[in-house]
Amino acid sequence: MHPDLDAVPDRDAGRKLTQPLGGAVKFILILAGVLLFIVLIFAIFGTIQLGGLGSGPACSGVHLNGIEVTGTSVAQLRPGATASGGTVSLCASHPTLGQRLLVGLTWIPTVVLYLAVILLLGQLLRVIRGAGPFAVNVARRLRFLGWFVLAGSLIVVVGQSAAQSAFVSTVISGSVPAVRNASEAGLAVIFVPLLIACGLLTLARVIRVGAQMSDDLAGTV
Amino acid sequence: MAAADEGPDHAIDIHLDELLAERGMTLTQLSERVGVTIVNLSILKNGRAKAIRFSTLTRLCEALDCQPGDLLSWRKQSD
Repeated sequence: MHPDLDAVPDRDAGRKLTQPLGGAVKFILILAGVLLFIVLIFAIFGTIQLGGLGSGPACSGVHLNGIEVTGTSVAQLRPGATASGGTVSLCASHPTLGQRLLVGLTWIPTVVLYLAVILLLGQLLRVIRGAGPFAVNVARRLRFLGWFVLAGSLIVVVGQSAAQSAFVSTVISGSVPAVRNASEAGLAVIFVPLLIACGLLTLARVIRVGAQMSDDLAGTV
Repeated sequence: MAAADEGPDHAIDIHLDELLAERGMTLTQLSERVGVTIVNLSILKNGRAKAIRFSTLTRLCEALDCQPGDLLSWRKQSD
């Protein structure tokens, strides 16, 4: 791209261009950093229970379909109304390290995926501020982000379902009908990430065409 | 950009150097008269411009007192 002195570089314009997403990403990253610090401090001193981490029982909320629950009912139901359980929290009172790990694997991958996406978004915004919105680099990063969201979501959903099934099998005797199988969970949860990924990949194509047009414009005297 | 690095993808020659020499004018003076930056005039002069606006062409012709054909010519490619 040829330099064009007629165009006055404006840092504020670049900053404004990436708002409000830029501000949101910054806020989330700061919040995540602070929360991580707090969790680490409490985890070191053993005074926190967070999804299988720390001391105490390791619990996981699983779908109730097929699990026989006795002794629970919804009180004060009006005549003609029925109640059915959605999820049940299954806990290992004295969890082994393996059980803690399995419970951790039911939620940690999602957090890691979200953080990775936020970091990639931050990088994308930095590129946009530096090179402008219509640059080949921006298109390339958008494309990568799209595939990352799609593949990452699929892996996370399948992995978390497998971890949950494995954990449930350690606390329930007999067969484990409670947890949806991985493919079922994948189909149910992957829909939104699939749409987001398609949007990002399409946007990447649009930006790539825009980059070519911007390049042509920059060469116009 | 790759295309720019590989050289121009057109066969139009710009005779800005010759016209400037004939009129005893410098690129800086032309830049001031035409209102186009020296950088952009250099891009045009070196044949790296992808397009030229009619408004720029008009001001160049006014400043250099020439016709567009004096400024631009098509070079027949041998391949």
